[in-house]
Amino acid sequence: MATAAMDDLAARLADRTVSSAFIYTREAHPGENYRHHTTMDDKRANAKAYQEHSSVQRPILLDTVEGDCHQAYGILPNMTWIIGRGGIIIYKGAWTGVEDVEDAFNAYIDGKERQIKDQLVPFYSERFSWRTRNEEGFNEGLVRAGPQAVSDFYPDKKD
Amino acid sequence: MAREMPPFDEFRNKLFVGEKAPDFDLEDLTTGETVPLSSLWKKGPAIIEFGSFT
Repeated sequence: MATAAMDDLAARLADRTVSSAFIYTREAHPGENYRHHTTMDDKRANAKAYQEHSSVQRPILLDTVEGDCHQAYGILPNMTWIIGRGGIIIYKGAWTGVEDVEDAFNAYIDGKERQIKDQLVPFYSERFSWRTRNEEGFNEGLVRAGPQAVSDFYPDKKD
Repeated sequence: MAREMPPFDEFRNKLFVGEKAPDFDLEDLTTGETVPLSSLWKKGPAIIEFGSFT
């Protein structure tokens, strides 16, 4: 995950009355060291481990063990959503691409500011976006989670 | 266990841009307090990332 870059974005936007948060979901790749949560204590412990390891600066909010919030928002492992003031969804990203999030946010704010003067009206669009994939870091994460996480993700891999 | 792809349809086929975001009570890891998700977008826009350690 792009934790540091998302923290930087949150810091850049904080003075524009933008709130940022990280919702802790179920484990995407559970292993022997960081298991599937069966209690809130499990979830708290793994979230604290993530907080210490990543030094994430944004507030971490814990979903329920059942994952009610995560399920409602589409259950993918590393989504980012932007919600406008008052609660209207203005962006949904299937994965977290920092540049795409910032671009979407700036486009929304720019349009809002020029809406009346330039007679702008919003419309719905979909597009492909790009994110950086840190394969080495991802594989390190699987190893950190435990052998089960590695074998689940690479079932055909032989040591 | 075979490698499974994330259930993308769950993301793609519901909750669209322009709709009202659903609200949930979540626990703040640092304070232990219950926080309504909607408190994030009360005074301005909110950027919300979902994820886990693994």
